[in-house]
Amino acid sequence: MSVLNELQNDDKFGNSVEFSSCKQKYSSTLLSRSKVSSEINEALSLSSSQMIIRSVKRNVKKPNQISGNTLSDLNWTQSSSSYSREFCRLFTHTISSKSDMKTEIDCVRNLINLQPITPITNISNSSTLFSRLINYAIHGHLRVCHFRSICWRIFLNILPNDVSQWSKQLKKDREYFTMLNCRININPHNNHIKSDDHPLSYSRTSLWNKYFYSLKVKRLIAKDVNRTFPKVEYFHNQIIHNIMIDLLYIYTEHENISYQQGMHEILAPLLFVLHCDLTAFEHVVEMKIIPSDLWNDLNYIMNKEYFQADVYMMFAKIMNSVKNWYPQTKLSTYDHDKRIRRRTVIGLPTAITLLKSEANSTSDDPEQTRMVTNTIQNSIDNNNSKYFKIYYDNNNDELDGEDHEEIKNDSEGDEVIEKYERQNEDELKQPDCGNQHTFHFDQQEHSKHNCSGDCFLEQIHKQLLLRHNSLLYNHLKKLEISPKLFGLKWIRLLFGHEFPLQDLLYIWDCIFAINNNLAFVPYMYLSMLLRLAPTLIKYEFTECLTLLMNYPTGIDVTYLVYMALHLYKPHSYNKPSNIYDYYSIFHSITFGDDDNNNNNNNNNNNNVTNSKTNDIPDNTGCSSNDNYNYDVKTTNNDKNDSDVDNIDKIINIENSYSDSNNNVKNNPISSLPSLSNKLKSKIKNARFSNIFNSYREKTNIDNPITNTDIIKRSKTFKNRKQVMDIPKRRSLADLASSKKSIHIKSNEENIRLSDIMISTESTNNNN
Amino acid sequence: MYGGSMSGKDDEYDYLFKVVLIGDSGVGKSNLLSRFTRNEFNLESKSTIGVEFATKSVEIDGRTIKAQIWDTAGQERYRAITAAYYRGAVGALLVYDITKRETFNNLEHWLLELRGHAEPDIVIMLVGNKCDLRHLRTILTEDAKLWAERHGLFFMETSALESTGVENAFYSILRTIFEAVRSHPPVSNMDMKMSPYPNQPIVSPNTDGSKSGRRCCS
Repeated sequence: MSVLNELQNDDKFGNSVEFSSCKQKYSSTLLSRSKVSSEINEALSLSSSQMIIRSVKRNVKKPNQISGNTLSDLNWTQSSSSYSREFCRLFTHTISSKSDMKTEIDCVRNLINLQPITPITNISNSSTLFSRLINYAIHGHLRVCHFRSICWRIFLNILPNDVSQWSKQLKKDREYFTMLNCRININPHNNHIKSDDHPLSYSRTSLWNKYFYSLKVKRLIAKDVNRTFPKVEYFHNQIIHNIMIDLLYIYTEHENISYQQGMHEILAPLLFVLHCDLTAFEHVVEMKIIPSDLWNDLNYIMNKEYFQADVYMMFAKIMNSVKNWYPQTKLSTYDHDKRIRRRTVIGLPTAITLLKSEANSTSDDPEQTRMVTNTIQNSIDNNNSKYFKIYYDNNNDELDGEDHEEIKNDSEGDEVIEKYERQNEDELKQPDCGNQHTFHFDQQEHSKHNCSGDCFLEQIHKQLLLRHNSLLYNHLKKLEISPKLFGLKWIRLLFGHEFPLQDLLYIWDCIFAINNNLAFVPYMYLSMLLRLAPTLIKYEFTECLTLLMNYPTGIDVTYLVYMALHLYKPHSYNKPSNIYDYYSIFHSITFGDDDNNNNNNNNNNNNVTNSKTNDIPDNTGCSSNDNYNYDVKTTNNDKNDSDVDNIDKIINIENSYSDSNNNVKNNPISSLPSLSNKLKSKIKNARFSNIFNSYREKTNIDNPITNTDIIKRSKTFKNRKQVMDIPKRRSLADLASSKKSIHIKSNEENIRLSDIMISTESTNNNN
Repeated sequence: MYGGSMSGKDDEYDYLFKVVLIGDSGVGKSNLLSRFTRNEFNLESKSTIGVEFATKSVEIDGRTIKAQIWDTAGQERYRAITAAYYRGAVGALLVYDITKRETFNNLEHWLLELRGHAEPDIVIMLVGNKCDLRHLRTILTEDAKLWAERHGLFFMETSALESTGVENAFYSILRTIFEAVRSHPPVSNMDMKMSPYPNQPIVSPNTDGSKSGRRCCS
């Protein structure tokens, strides 16, 4: 009803036919929805329709800008639509539907008399905001997005999925950061100081003492901040350096850990992304393109005054996962003094009052002053011991009112922070989209070592790399290349030194989108290793380690991400096709040559005892073949063909066994070397087509490839075919040996039966 | 094992020496490495995270020596990669910044760590970097030289920016290592110590006949 009233009010602006036609369309759509949709959908539609109506009002209020058809007006309309539509497309589901887009476009077209604009196609029609944003991130559409920082905060659970709750959550986070900043980042020049405090004080409660300590730590952090992303001009600004130093200092003091090199590399891209989004928002506001309703929604979210707070919340969330890969350093001496400081808060003021009273009573004689100072020191020690006891006994009756108030103030601040952290912990405990991870990091081993980053890398190599590419795993192990030599840098910086900044942001889109606990990082690590596997296997120690420490530029980042997604969930994401698979197939052929050599060596030995040893190379061959993923079609065809061949050859073996044993021994053995020799010669000559034709003539197998025009595909298929030929011939030899063993066993059974008959006859004679 | 697929570089060398760079953060270790191995200097360089690695071959007395230079982060105290970093090192460059006295004061700590993790017979050279900043000097050359003599170290001042003394520093330490190896022929244990990886070929100096010959330690 309220919408209808607003529509009636709009009549006052004019009775133009165009506007009335728009009104009719809105009313028809609203009526059709009200019949079907539920209350929630009605509320959403109302809010969305209000947004559209207000945008129409804004257009009507400025007829001068609309009257002309100059280029500036065209840019105006296009840019306004692009920014607001981008927001609506990402974060509101109702407006992103096609019908609303069409009605909006028709309305704008009628007002401006322009040609129709092609509507934006939606990648996915999923109803969930979170899953839709994940698809955007994976397909790389956040690269040119003006709301990347908001998407990251949704992925990291800093902002809720409900858009209307954003302002509330941001207000809470920003208040928390303000309190944290006031508590940790102290500057005595600005604050009101006690009369007893002074810059040269050695007191543990002195603000000056704490201030000088912070300057020392910040000087250490500044060494690295000044060397952040040296090729990006944004990070040459001194204001940005000061912001980074403050945020890193606040984080390390709050988490009670010491600063480690590398943390600045995690903070820097977050600053960059949020700054880009805020700059885009300011630009849109200055151009007066944004609708007033959207401006009201985004003004608080995109507020520049809270820049540090918004960056800090993202940084703290990411570091909760990344800090496990940094060494857990011990408390410094100053942190140790902090704990003593809390205890001595009770005792020191009264000691100071004692100093005052005794100082007044002293005379000017030097000897007496020395005596007095000694007595004062003794009295301080005694009083401190007394107040320590009082503190442990919790007897508050003897304390002064002022001291009691101070204790309350400190305790209240700590309690508020603890409550906030508990809320965050509760959010973390909730399951994230019900993901089940195959990679599991054992926390029991974590307690054994000081640095769990080392264990984390070892387990990636043992659990994932050994399964996907055991050849590379064994190669690195043989060369004694420890994963921590190159891997610690990869995971501590989230691959920040390996890729340029724009590619790095795309990788971080996927890392945050898939899981906010950074569970995608080991698969990204594995994808980067597998990409270099064909090259690393050829290299010795020096070249191998150099390549890993200086990851080559020019690699397609999209391929690495898609391969990592395939490794993460093989059923949900297909393996990306790329020319690099072509090289890996060549490597499998060379590996196949080794199998042929082993096969010949085994065939030369005709002893029965070697039957067990024959099984071992078969297994290794199968495992090596499994490392390289083949197409499903070819494997199915090969399986069917192998079954048919096995059945035929079993019949042949039975027939030949009845004739003579020697024929069975010689036929499969003699045939294999000749074939293998032929294969070797032809592989060396690289005439794959001839081999395929000869093989096809023998076996009369139809060609499953339909597109024979593509030469590369046919070559790859033939190469795979040849690799798959080798296990068949081995299986034939195994079948022959198994048949022999069966017949031998049957003979033994006959002998046993005859023994039983003899024993029964003897018993009958005795009876 | 992978005889057919091995197609590594065919660079011939007689000795492989591992040299490590240690010192505080910001003294210029990474630029010393890049200046010596690639003849490059970057005023805008990133912080070293973990380990960096580079090699260069030099000629000393007709012998080809391949130097493996290892660079590490100077700020990380409890280092997970300490054992792997110092294992098999035959030389160490102890680097400080002449414009910051604090980096010189921390050399005691670095020397203790080096004595604790590296081989006892490692050759150590003290390097005072950034000698081009004459107006900002806080450590006198004589004081550093006395400190080095007291601890039995070699000493040299360098400037990675102006490429002053960098080549001399590395050549000097490599020559010292080479003379030590040549004067004391390596025993089987010493072979394992000198070459951190047994697969790397190493030639004993007794075989003067074949200059380019190579043989394995085992």
